[in-house]
Amino acid sequence: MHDGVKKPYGRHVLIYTPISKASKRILYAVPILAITLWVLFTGLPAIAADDDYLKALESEADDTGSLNTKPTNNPTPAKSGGVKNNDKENFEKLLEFELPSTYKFYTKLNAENQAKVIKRYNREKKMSAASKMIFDLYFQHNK
Amino acid sequence: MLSKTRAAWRTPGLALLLLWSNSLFALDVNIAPDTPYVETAHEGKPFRIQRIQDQNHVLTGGFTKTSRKCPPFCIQPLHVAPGVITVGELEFLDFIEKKLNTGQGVVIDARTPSWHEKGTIPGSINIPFTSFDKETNEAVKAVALGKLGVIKKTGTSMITSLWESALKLVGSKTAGSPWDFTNAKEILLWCNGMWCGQSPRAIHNLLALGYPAEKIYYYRGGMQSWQILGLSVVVPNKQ
Repeated sequence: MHDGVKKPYGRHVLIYTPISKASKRILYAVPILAITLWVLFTGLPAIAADDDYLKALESEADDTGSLNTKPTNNPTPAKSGGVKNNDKENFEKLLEFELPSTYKFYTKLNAENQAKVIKRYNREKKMSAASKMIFDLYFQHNK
Repeated sequence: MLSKTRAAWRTPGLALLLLWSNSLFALDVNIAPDTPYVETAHEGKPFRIQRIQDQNHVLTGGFTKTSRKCPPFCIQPLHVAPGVITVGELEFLDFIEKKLNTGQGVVIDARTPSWHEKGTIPGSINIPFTSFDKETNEAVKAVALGKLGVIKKTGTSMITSLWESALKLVGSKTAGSPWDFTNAKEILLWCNGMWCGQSPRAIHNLLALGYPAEKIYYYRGGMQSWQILGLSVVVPNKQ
């Protein structure tokens, strides 16, 4: 009885049909397109989110402005008095680090006397000599 | 005779003077009862960390801000990842004295350079959190990790591959990682504070690379807490 459905019959035979160049291009293009779409939908949002985060960070950094850099150890800034700023800065840091008490006396000296101390230190390269001079100068003016 | 007497007086006199001056110039605002300051080096120069002595001083500027858009500036958890220790200021300063000053540890300002340039915690080096991102160039990663004592593994012999496989089976996290963490230093990371995700992200990425969690410390308070307590900050030299 015929049920109206076509049934396959006979052996399967592979028939090589010529594929047009256009079809070949489509065959190659489909996976490439799929990969591109996958990268776009999975990778890019993460990169975009990163970009947004970095943008937000930069904008917030601009808004934050400068830090509270009020000096914690209050050395009075003095005029250089003929001493290179770099020398002065280095000497003061070293003195404060090695002889903090002497440093306090040093900060009480006027700019001219501070420069004398630094010049002597630069000449002799001895902190003991600089320290002695600081006390001598301090007590000369504070008898 | 007179000069000899003077000389005899000078030495104890000087000692007394120093004692007197120390008490005269003792700090009012200490870090802890017996800790007026902590010393370290920043960019090769000695630096003393202490608190602002002006007791009327109040914060102004960006770190007084209470609200920022979240995301991305959301409140961070106290514990950033299992095994990573969160620290406060005293533990941070202890780390500076015992680890940083002895060369066993590194303090990392994990913020982007634009934040770092405005001022940083003395002793910190700037390694932006992006340096450890998955997508970051391997060479950049190598430079950043190199500062922490981590090197790239070289050549895999059969024995090392077998050893790596065995470690993987046991569940070791560093197995299969291209990085050698044998001499990894103890590191302390920080950023802007409890609302900042930069150091947490750096920590997560470091853990993903295989950095041992027990060698990582997280200062959650960051620049915000540091500023609130009036602790010293330093503006880095622009090179």
